[in-house]
Amino acid sequence: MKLWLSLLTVLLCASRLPGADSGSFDYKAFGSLPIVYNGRIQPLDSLARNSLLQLREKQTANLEPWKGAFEKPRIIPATEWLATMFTNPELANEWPVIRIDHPDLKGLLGLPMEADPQKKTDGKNFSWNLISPKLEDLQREANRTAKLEQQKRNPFEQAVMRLWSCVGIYMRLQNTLQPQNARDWQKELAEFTANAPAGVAAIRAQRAKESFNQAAIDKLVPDLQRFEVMAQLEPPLVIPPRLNAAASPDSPAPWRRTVEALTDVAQGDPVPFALTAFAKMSTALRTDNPAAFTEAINDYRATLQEPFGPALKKASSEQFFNKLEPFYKALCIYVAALLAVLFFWMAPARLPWLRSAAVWMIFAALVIHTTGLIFRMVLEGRPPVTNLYSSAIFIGWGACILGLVLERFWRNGIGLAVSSSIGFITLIIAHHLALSGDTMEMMRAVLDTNMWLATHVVVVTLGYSSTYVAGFLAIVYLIRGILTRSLDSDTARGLGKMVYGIVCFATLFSFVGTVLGGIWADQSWGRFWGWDPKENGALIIVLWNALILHAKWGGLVRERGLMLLAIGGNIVTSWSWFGVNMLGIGLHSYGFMESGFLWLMGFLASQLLLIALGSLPGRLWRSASALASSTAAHLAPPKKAPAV
Amino acid sequence: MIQYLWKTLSSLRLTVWCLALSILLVFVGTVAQADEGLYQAQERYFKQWIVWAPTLFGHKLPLLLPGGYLLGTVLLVNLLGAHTQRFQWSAKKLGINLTHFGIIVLLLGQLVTDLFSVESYLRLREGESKTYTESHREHELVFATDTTPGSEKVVSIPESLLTKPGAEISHPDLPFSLRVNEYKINSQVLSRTQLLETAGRLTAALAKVEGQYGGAELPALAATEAESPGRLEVWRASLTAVGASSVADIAEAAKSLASQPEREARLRTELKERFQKEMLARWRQQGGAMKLAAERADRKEPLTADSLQAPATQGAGSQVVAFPLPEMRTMDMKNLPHVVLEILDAGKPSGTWLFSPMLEAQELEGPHAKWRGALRAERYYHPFSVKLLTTTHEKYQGTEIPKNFQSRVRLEHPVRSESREVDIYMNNPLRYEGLTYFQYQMDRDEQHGNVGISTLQVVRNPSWLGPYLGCILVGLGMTVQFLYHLVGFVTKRRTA
Repeated sequence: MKLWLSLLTVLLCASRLPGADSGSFDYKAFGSLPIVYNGRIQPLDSLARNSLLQLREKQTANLEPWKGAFEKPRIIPATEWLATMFTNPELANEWPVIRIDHPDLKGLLGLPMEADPQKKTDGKNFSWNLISPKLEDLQREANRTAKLEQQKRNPFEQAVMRLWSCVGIYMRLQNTLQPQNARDWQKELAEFTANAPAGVAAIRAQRAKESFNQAAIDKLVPDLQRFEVMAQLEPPLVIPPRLNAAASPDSPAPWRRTVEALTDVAQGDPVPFALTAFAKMSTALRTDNPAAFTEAINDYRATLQEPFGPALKKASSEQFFNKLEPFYKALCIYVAALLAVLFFWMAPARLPWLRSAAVWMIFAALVIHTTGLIFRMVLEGRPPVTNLYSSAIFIGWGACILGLVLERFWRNGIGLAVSSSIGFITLIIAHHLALSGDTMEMMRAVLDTNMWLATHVVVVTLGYSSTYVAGFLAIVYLIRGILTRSLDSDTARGLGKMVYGIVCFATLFSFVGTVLGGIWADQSWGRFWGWDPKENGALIIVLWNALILHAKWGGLVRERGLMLLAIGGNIVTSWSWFGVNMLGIGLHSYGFMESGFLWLMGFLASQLLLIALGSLPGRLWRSASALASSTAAHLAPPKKAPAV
Repeated sequence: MIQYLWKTLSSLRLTVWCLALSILLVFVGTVAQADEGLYQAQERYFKQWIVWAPTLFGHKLPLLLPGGYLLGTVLLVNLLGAHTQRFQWSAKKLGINLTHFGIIVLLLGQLVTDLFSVESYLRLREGESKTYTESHREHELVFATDTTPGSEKVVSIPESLLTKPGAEISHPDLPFSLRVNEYKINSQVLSRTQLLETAGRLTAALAKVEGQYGGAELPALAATEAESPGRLEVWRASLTAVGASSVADIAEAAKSLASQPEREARLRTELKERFQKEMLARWRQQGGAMKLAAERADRKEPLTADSLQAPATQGAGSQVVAFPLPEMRTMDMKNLPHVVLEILDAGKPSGTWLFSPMLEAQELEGPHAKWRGALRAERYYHPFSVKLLTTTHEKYQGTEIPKNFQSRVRLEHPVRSESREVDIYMNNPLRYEGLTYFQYQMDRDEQHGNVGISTLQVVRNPSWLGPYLGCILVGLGMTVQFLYHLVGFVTKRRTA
């Protein structure tokens, strides 16, 4: 029973809901093609998904969002949307893919507030055609807001800036493979290549004040004008390096933007094969010719195979990883496991198999979680934690393992509850952090060192993990003690031991991690300790854990005091993890987030509330009698209040 | 009594109190950085015995907090006390002893760093060589005179002596004494002629706008200016201000107003004022003389020869104007002070001089003509020179994200007849002669020969090994202690 239940859950979570409708074109193959964006080689698939995440917070494009889930709205994969953006902007401009929530911003742009199938919107997602008439108003607001400091912007201004960056992304994509206004790019490219030599010669002659052919210039000018627009938008780099370029491992020949390649062609370079290949794909798409599309992609991949095999392979692997969505799947399983544990606690004697089922589920989730983590490391060629996003994933991973270890010893579901809840919460956080775009961005020069990323960052993140585990164990203690009768003295004592052990572990990791950070700072700018906010945050975690240990050793707190202090650990760790980034000062302030602030405040308030509840007199606890049945000393308040 | 004190000093209760207050102090000191500046907050909270009235989220609280030094010292005493009183040499206590010894090493190491470490910087253009490094924050007033060809006598006066107006300074090597007339911690020194010339240009430009919208036919002007989006915007705003019904086509709107002279006049005023305001805003953004001229014009107090008083009677000070600026509080912004001094000849005044890091060294006039004076960043001289050969600044393809900053330098140490080339880049500093050179900033002077400029952070820290040792000891100690408990726990459970 337990095995099939967990298997069923895993299968349900692992299989995706209704597959997106992709038609007859091979968009999957298109999505696997390598490009360079954000300074790294990635598949078009990643560009498509990350762009959609930024535009509408989803990895697919819903073309009929006003329809309910059961009315079968037309949902297309990200790559199909991207291919259309590239090659058929008029069609893409009708699709509601830009999300706007702020009512004042909708008002400014004259957008409908409610769903309106006539205008192809659900009141939240809007098409380019609906937004573009009021672009001037948006630009004026954006210019005004840009002059304000980030901390001083109100929600409307933040929404304006977000939309303005979406406009940038949108226009950039439409000028990536070809000029936005191209109709039959294959033909237009051929014409440009034919006209270029005479036209360029005429322009040079004109500049040198010699006689020149005005007709040749006139033929070229419209092209040059639209290329100028492309160049200003700085789109992704889609043209691989020249084959004959002198390349060394130290400084590989650069990838180029379409517009750069076109300029080089005008200067007399041969037409790069990528330019022709993409033009063929474009025309095949516009003329509705799936066979020609597939053929162009296959030809292009075959030509790339020899000189750019590694890039091709990396792009394919990343595409596979994108499709796998391991963290999303792990997240679903954690939720299922948490529910199983909660049901198990309702009747532990009657439902023991639920606990075993939860063990298997968490184990499966951990395997998927680990696979994703390792896959990311291999793709990036980096240790697991490189930014805020990956720290969330790693904290969840560490906590999940610690919880399973605890469960191995105590077998009462508590470790499982902690594993699944922290796993679930951190992956949700990661999911929201991913909305800001590419999560595998390149490391700035200061951070570009695998040795310190692998030691300082990993260790300090494990310190965060273990402090959270101690805090969540304490939450289990309080909630079960105050709200239920299930906290007997054995469980309470077991929890006390768990928290104490984990706090020892947390002290070790947070201390070593923090000092390693200091040593890194000493290595890179000669200051072991600079009182930078993030350093101070880490120091506070170390001091807090040390305080818990010393307060326990000195007899200043007993079991309940230990629990309350451990919950304080949640506050301290959250502040260090996110709060200091919101202060917006110092070298570490790389991840300023707006909406996250309210969530953080909410979490901190909930923890303070728990501490207040936990300070209620023992006789008000529902578990008072269960606890009192053995030694009453456990709940007796310490002689003097702890020092905070 | 002594017994009681001793017991309290070595108690765990005191440890917990110290830790709790440290947490509070670190938290308050961190949040205060947003209001008081990173450097200032460090000085006020951490490098301090007692903190009065800390700031929390912009509010001053009437509280007394122990400062970083006090807490560190009490913790150290507490730790030493506890160990002398309860020290045990046993396997059970090995981990704790190691850990605490490591903490002592860290605390003492930080103290030594605070007392003895010196930070300075070295800013070099490609091809340039220096035998000294300069202070980030401190300045010195120096007077130099040539003794024999190739060598000079230098008298240096630290900035801290210059801050009090009225203070008199003399030095046995100086044939004159000084009296401080004025000192400003941060200021801007601008050439008086250039300032007047800039102000003249601004007046002319404003007058041109005045003329343009005062005289020309508005509909025709609107038609040409509709081409430029920025100007279009101003036209529309002005038209709206005079109550035009439709502003989509500004030429059309201007034409419809042409028949109403009173409204057209108002439109002209609106246009003039708005375009002049825009122009002033653009000038302000340029900084320097242009910003100053624009600010004064905005306040309707245009700069004139009369309103610009020269701060000193002699030397460069008679040709410039000095404007005080607010003190810089962030790590990477520097204060540029200025000082106005009276030079006293045997107690008799002989003219005032202005010194500022923005000015070159000045030859003194009159009887002391062989002396040169300058206010400059404080220098630390070393027995070797560092020459910047090349700079490398790489970015990731198609982005502005920095990938690598690297300086190749040549070290020349004549005494040791050493001459070699070294690469300094992020996370790879140069350690030499007790100093460590770190890659700090990189720049390129595109106006003067496209030369790379590199700034190296230079640190002398005799206790830099402390943290390494401390970290190893504490890590080892905690691991031993933790494993001791874990093994005990697991075996107990197995046998249970």
